[in-house]
Amino acid sequence: MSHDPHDHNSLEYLQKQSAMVWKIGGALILLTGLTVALQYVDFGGHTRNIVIGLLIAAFKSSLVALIFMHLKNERGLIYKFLIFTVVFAFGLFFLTYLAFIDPLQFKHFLPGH
Amino acid sequence: MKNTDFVREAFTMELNLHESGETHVATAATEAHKAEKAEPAETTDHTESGAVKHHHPEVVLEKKDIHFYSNFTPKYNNYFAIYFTLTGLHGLHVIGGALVLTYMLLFGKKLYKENPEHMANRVETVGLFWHFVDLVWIFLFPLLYLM
Repeated sequence: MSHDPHDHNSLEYLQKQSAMVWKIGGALILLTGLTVALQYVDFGGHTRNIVIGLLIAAFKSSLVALIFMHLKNERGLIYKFLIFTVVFAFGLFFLTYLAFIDPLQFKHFLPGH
Repeated sequence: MKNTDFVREAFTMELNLHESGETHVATAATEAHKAEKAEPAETTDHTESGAVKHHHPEVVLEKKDIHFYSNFTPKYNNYFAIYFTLTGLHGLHVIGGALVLTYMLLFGKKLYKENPEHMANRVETVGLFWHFVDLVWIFLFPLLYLM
């Protein structure tokens, strides 16, 4: 086994990775505690509390995506796929606006009309 | 009127009968509420003759005929419908991921000895799934329980 720390099979690399995973796991638990604690603090309005809670959640999810899901070590094509997926998913969210269309205007398409 | 009065003796339900024939439960009230209507308060709707307006036919249900009543079940409450859909589907994903991870923990040794890279790929893929499910919960937890 080589001792090059960039070799993904070297013992040092794996030990570093393992330590990193535990550190990030601890950070996630602490941030969860922080999220809960900050909801009891009045930041001047419910909306601000929601924004702060979601900002911490966004930071936590970026930790998970970058380190646990190895996005940090990816490049190029993976990001193109990811960006396309995010845009596509947002497009799906906006499909719910179709609910504002009055369905009764199409009733003559139904049998019996 | 106390909330518990709703489950006393009998219900009086006002049904809105629409042109289409479908019925909607508009309000639920007790006998006491009905008595209140008979001796109308200031806010009650009157016709010119002074009689109380009855817009809808009334249906009286005996308590013994009611098997279950709640305003807080998914059927009658949008929040709980969404809540149980989100947490239920998330729970199913957690169970699925946990089953596969357990399988690999218990029965993965054979493949690991035969072809460690193949096994590493499997662990990596299930790990990605597991962390993605985790990622969803990071947002669901504060949204559902804190905000």
